[in-house]
Amino acid sequence: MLQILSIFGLSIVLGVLLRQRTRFLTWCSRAADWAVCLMLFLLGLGLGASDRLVANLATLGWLGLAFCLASVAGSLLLIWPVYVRWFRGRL
Amino acid sequence: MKGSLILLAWFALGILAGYSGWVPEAVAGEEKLALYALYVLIFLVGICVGGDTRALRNILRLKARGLAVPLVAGLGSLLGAGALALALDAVSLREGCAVGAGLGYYSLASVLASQLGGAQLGGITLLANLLREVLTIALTPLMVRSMGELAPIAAGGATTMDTTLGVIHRQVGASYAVIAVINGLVLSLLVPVLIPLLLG
Repeated sequence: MLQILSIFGLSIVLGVLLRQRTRFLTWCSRAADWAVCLMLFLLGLGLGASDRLVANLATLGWLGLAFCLASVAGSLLLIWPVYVRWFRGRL
Repeated sequence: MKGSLILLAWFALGILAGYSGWVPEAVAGEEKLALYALYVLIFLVGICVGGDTRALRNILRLKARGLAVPLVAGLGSLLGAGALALALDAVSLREGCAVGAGLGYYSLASVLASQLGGAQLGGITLLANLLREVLTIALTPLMVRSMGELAPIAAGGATTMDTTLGVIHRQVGASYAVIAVINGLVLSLLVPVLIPLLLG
């Protein structure tokens, strides 16, 4: 956990220092896209290589849907008073 | 949406490759490879965030009212997912909150969750947060009519600065679109902080 947070913090500082290098930043953005593709491939690889996880794919799907609905419901429930108090009819 | 399908295709290709044994076991079982790739990804994302000074300035310029939207929506997401986890045996409270902390940023969230909580949690995080984007795109008009202009912004999470911004802008107008962009920016920054804190 500490490594991830440190790398994230340091790289933000590095990004601020290199903010004028637009070509480098564009390259970083493209490289990040490819890194995401690689990581998702590796995530799939880990799931596919495990017989136990393959057998549970349907369960994972239902859990994914349930957590999607629960997290969206939580966000909507909490944002409602903020909307009524500060935003409704004011923007 | 095209971008989401491409990412989903990479994930599906990975499952297929792992299942069929196309990839040598030495590579498929090498967890360090995924960990180093994650470090590289976090590093690149951080540089992109730091290099976008306009986005950082926009966040710093926000008043409390504007900043309250992503913070409250993010907290709601964690609590909603955490509450579901309490009702299930399959996922612990911390794992459930971590799925909710994905905030729609499914690519980074699933990678972090799989590294810190295992492949099963990574799969759930990917699907939950990918579906969040689909749900927001499909239900924005309904949410605006029934719960007001902030509802799709809260539902969309980190995606409101890119993939769901178009549909939200069309439904709620420019003023709320600005809030949607800031909401997406703040929540995107929170994902790589919250998930390691919850699962570390």
